[in-house]
Amino acid sequence: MRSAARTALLALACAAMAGPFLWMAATSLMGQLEVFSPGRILPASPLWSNYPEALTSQPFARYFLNSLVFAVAVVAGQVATATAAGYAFARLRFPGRDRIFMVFLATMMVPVVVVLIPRFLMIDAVGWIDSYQGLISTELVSVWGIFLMRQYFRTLPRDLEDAARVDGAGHWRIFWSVALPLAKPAVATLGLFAFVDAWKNLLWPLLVTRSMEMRVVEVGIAAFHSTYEINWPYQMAAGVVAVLPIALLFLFTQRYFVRGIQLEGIR
Amino acid sequence: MNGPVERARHRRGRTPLPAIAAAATALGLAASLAVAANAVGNARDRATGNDARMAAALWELPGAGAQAVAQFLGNRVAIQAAEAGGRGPGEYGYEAGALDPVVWIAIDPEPASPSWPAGATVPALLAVLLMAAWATRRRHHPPPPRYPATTSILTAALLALVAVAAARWADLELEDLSAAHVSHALDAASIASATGATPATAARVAGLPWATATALDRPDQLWTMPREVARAITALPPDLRAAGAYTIQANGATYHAAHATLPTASGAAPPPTTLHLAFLGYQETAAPTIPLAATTTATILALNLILFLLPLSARPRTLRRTLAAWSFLAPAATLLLLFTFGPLLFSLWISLHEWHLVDPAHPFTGLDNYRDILLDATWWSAIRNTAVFTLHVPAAMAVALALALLTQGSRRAIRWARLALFLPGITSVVAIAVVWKWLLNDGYGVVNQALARVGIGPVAWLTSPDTALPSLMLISVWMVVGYQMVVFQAGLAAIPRDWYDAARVDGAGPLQRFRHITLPGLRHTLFFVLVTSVIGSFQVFGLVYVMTEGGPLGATDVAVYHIYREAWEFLRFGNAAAMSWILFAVVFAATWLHFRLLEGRRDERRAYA
Amino acid sequence: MKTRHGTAVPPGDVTRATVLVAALCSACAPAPPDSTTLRVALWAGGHELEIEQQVAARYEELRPGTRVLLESAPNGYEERLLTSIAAGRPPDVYLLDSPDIPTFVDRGLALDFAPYQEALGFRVDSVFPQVLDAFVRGNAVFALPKDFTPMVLYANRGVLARAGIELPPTPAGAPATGWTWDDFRRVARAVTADTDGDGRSDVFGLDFPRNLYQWVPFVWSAGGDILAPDGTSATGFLDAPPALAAYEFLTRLAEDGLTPGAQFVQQGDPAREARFASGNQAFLLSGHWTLPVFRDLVTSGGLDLAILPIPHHPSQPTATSVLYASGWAVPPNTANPRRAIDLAGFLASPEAQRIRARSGLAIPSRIDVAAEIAAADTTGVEHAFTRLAEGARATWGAYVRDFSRIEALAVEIMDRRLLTGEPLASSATDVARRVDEVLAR
Repeated sequence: MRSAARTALLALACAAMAGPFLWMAATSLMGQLEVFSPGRILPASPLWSNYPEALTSQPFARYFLNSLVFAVAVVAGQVATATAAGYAFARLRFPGRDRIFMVFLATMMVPVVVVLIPRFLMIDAVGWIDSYQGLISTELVSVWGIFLMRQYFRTLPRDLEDAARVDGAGHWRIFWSVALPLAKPAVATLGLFAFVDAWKNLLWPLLVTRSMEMRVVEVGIAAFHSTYEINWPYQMAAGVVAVLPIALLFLFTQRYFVRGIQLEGIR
Repeated sequence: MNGPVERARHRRGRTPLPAIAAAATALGLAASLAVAANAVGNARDRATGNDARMAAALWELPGAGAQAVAQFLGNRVAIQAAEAGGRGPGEYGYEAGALDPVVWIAIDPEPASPSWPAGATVPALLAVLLMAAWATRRRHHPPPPRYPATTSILTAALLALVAVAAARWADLELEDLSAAHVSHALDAASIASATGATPATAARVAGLPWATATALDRPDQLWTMPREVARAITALPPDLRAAGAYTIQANGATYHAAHATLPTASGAAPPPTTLHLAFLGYQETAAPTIPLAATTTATILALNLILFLLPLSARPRTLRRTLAAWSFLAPAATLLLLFTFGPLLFSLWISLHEWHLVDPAHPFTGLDNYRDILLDATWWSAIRNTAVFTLHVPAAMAVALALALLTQGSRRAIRWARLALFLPGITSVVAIAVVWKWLLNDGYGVVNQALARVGIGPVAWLTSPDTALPSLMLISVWMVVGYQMVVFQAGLAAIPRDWYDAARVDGAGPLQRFRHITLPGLRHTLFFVLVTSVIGSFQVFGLVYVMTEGGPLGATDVAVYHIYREAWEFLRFGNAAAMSWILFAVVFAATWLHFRLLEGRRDERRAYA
Repeated sequence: MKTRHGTAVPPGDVTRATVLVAALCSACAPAPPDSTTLRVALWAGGHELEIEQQVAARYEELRPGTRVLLESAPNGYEERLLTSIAAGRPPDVYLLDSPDIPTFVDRGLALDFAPYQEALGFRVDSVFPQVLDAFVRGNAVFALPKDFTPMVLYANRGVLARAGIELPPTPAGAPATGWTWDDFRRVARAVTADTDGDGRSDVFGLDFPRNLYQWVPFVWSAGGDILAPDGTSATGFLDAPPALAAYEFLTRLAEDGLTPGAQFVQQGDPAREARFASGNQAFLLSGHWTLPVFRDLVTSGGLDLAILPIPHHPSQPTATSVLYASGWAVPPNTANPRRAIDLAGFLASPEAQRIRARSGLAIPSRIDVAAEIAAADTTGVEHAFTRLAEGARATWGAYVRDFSRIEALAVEIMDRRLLTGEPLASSATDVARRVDEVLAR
């Protein structure tokens, strides 16, 4: 009985959350004017041709490749920098630790619009405008990720590390072979969000990329929005396709942050 | 008294840090002076480039040609065939001949009289002496137990003095170059005029904003001199104007201006015209202030880092631990320093100026921007809206936590449900905004149609000042719930299963298990989500940008959107930077409060233990 | 980051590399682009970009060894252009929109084309004078006009016919000598209807012209203006009787229910074009850029389109519309000034304009090319546009600095009346005072 209520509640939540997205998918299959006939929610007959037409109007294949390179590099960078820094803030003792952490955290509080120009000037000074290096290099560290890892490492019981320390392991050794494997759920979360944020980042790629060869998906969609202002089905089709890579990634990675740590064995 | 053991300990305790600190200071001083000299050198290059461009324009004038160029530049110039052009290093030049270059005009730079930032000498010497004396003192073996604050402050002050003196020297040099450039330009215009060119053509050879004397008072006739500059020239006292060359203030910048009565070609009889030229000085466009400030700041930071490590070297264990910790922090810290702290300091600098993105001049206005903003009611209404908007965070967290608990497990249906819940967070904001605008449309939106079925009148979701912000908050909950749910799930995964089993054995019900296991186990995660969501919600921008553009009547004008418009729509970057820092102060206070209230001291001590 | 005059590399540059980062990273930095690559910044997208690429390809044919790189940003154009200029790496040629003219020209960011007119074969009398005027100061020409559009009223004849209103058969013909606000209100009232019987209207006259760029022709067509003739003040103009009459006329349309509901959110009416095309709105206030949207529908007979002048105040003989133009400009600090000028000249040439006219987004700036297009168009729509452009004048934004701030303020005038019931005279006086403050800077 309780399980049924739970299922119903969950179904309702899913409908509410995914509803607008389903509406988007349905619209992507409509004719250009069909969208505006009052009361219509489903297409009379799905216009699958919207997808190839929308996606060939710009080199979307190239955009996807660029977004993928960008996002994967950002994930690698952020996971590397954030796990190490988060571990230091959570587990190591050194003078000024919490004050330095606050300074790190403070950088999250300044709107990114004001640092865009100086960043652009720096990337320009080294000649990286319109290149992968330029796109990626400023995004390799995330204070959000450091904070996430710090909080997670603090949750972990201390005894495991102490055991390793008694065995004479150094800080890096403990980090690598004891703490990091235990932090898989947080690392998966961080990786996922780093990917999503990179994928959805609009302002920075817009500024540092110039040519069509370097453009990323989100910039392509925004350009689409301005160009085909009233062709909603096209816009929606592009929006649906852009979600797919992240949705797939989510489906495949979710087991990592849902499966709990198996502490029983080592206790 | 110094036995062999003592000496050995001394040697071991001897640290190279003071010497490194002294070397860093000297290096920083040299860098500051080099930066200033470099800026002047670059301006000199530009001046020579301008000479070449004027020579090319002269060469292209019908009736002028090589002779006029030689008259203008004397033996500094060589005119070569375009393809033979002196393109190698060591030559300044310009292609000349309408759109198809015919010749290459190569010129030598004007010889520069050697000069030196004299005012910087004394503080620089003092700084070097101070550091040298300090570094060679015996007391460093063993190292002092405390951070040498006096030395640090004194050196920093001296470094700053050197920077100021170097900047001042560069300014004077640049002013000289600017004055020379204006007089060169007048020469070029006079030579052009003597060959029969009209005043307009002659002025074009000079390549500077200009006006004839008769047009100076009539704004509609000025066509390349900015109105404010012309106004400043006419406002000059007559005796100063008679001098021929002068500096004036306009648009908050220093212009170098000069005028001359143009000679006319022999035989022709147009009335003599007086030509006014104005030049935005190199000291406005090429001043090394920012690199100087950056170099000095970097030197002071590096010096203090070394001084900070010095007392630690007396305690080898702490030093080892500190170095180990920093080896973990180094990658993140380096990137942050480069791409975040540097830009942030730069924006602090910008906030003290009237800073138009593409204006060459950035007049210093002190705290004026801050004062204007603090008195601006629209800004405070934006802050208020942002604060109200932040109230959606607790609601979103409650929903997200409930959903995270509901979707535990790994059955297939649950996996898909989780994806459905996560979808709003990953969909392109631009695309989803169109959907929401459609769903919430007053007249034909699906939401209002559904409400009409149950007899609720049309709700003006986004079109009334009273409801627009709450509507955005609802949409924001919808957008962030998936995110938060995933973080909560990761947090839940860290709570050992057997705790629940043990509780169950003890006969605890689900509510009790939630209260006594789940909530405490999630404490760090909850704190994390709260802090980051509050910070994130203070930065809300995309949603407002695509949904309401701050309307209706400013009801959804939030702080970052306000800043964005100020910067990119109105191009007032000084104001935008000042606003960002005020917002920063607000958010920092809020976050600090969170840490103070929620991350207890007991907890801190345990982390250290 | 340095401004280079001419094409030579100043010797000091190489030796005095001081930017620390640059020194560290110079090893991995890519080689500088070939000096014969010319970068063009524009905001074309989709089909339009394809056509601009054809134009660029044609230029590459004419000038072998030159590569033209189109850097198009349909979204965020200004952000990108300004940042690249601030960084000292401007494109070689950029598209200058009329509201941006003061920003760029007053700050010396556009080269004067006057000395090169002859070499480029560009004659000032070959383009529409009202278009050229915005780009000219004295006899300096700061951009070569690309194309332009006046604001007009699109009319869906099908909707009008349903309400029993007949327009003469030629698109531009009706009403031949213009029409007054009273005529317009009558028609709008006649077409507004509730077709599905749910008690709410679903066919409307016009969507509410909320923004200054849309409603300024109404002020002009009442014989008034928004700023003083010298562009230095707004009080006495923005709040003067002709302007108030225009606000009154437009807000009354909304209050009488002749405009659809979601009028207040700035981008809030994403459906206006579609509503018009699907027969749920009789009129659409827009420029030429909307025309390609309807082209397929018009040729397939799905939409019977008429292009009408904006209605004018009964006291005035005709309407005055507003005109938006864009032109090709060259920044003075490009690395290749001569080649950039040559390219800009080609981009504005009749040949390029003929290729570009295939996109049909705007009216070519050259009188002869525009005439060719109008003659080749069998629907008469193009002819109507060129005719309505005759009485139009350039936007104030082409002459007044900080116009974006003025536009942002001006939105309030009618919003306050519609949302809070404040009298128009009071909100207009307040806004005019604040506009004065902006102008006084």
